[in-house]
Amino acid sequence: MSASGDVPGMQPEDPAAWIADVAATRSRHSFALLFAHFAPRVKTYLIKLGARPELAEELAQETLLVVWRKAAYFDHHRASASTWIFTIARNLRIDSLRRERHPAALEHEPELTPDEEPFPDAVAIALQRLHRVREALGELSDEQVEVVRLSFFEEKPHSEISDDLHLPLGTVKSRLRLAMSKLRAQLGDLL
Amino acid sequence: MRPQHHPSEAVLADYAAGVLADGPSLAVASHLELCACCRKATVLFEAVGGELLEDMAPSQMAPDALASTLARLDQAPPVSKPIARRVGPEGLRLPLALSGRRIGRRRFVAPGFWVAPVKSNSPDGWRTYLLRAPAGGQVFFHGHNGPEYTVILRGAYLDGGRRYLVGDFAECDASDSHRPSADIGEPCICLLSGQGGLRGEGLLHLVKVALGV
Repeated sequence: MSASGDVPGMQPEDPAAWIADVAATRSRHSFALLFAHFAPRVKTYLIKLGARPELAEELAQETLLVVWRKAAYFDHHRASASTWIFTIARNLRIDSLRRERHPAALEHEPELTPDEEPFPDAVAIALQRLHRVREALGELSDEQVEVVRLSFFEEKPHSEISDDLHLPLGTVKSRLRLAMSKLRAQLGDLL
Repeated sequence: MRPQHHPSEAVLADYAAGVLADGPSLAVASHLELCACCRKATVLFEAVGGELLEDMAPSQMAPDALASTLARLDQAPPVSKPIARRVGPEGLRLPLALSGRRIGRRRFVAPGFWVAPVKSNSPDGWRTYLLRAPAGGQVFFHGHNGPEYTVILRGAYLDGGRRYLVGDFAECDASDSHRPSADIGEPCICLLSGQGGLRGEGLLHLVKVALGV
């Protein structure tokens, strides 16, 4: 945890501090802590998205490998550790689908850009520490949370979500729109 | 000039979640390159994804998962090519989102109109292409059998009393019929991604033939 003292306001058990430590000292100890916490969750996430368990295992390990390589790009003002790792896993899943389905569609391997997207906006957000996202999610109705969850964690078009919930498609879409507008209204000041 | 027409929250949420099909993702990414407000919304929705990830029940990893990952830490990372902005037909500066994609040759469907397919990876019937219309050129009246997303890359077009400029994003669904036209003044080039084909007559037939629909 040698670097944790360098990051003001971070708790020692804060995953963001582990990432900072990996970036600063290449600490395998902090990496192992990150691995233990995130790899099993990423695996579950990928299985929910429809990945076979073997692929989910492989991509979960790959996700943490990218965390190791790109730790220096992590900016805890911009995103929480879990958000950053979520976007890495998401992008690896998208890339793996591309290779699986239509390798010929790509002229070359896409640059793996989990974080240093060409969007230099200074979106200074310490979302995780503020727990604001979690609070905001807590204020949604159960139906709204269900639609948000399904649209994030099932690789399904809204039309299939609507079949699963026995709701008209228009209702699913308007529920999601309401839920997301509410989150934007509550959290917009953080951005 | 900031874009005035944006993707819906549902589309941005799907994009942030990584579950939007490939073709529509290209249209959304092209819009995001020009729209700070939707980039912020996307960052926010990614934060929702991060919170939901925290809530995931942990899966059992393979017994050697940590050991084998640790053993790979010192391997040289794969060399990734930097993204270079490409120039498309007629000197069009393509969005970065299209920089790794093959764009097929243009097929002229009427004077001043062409379409060029963008290679995408979706197996689910999405068709993604560039469409060019001459200044003032009216696109056929048509309906959709499924959702369609459009982002303007050059010029402007008019549709249902609205004016769409570079970066603006339009969403149609199966219930919409319309007859957009390029604004007078300069030709219009858009990136479109649609699912389920189009309904209509006349020029549309030529577009369908050109796209091999």
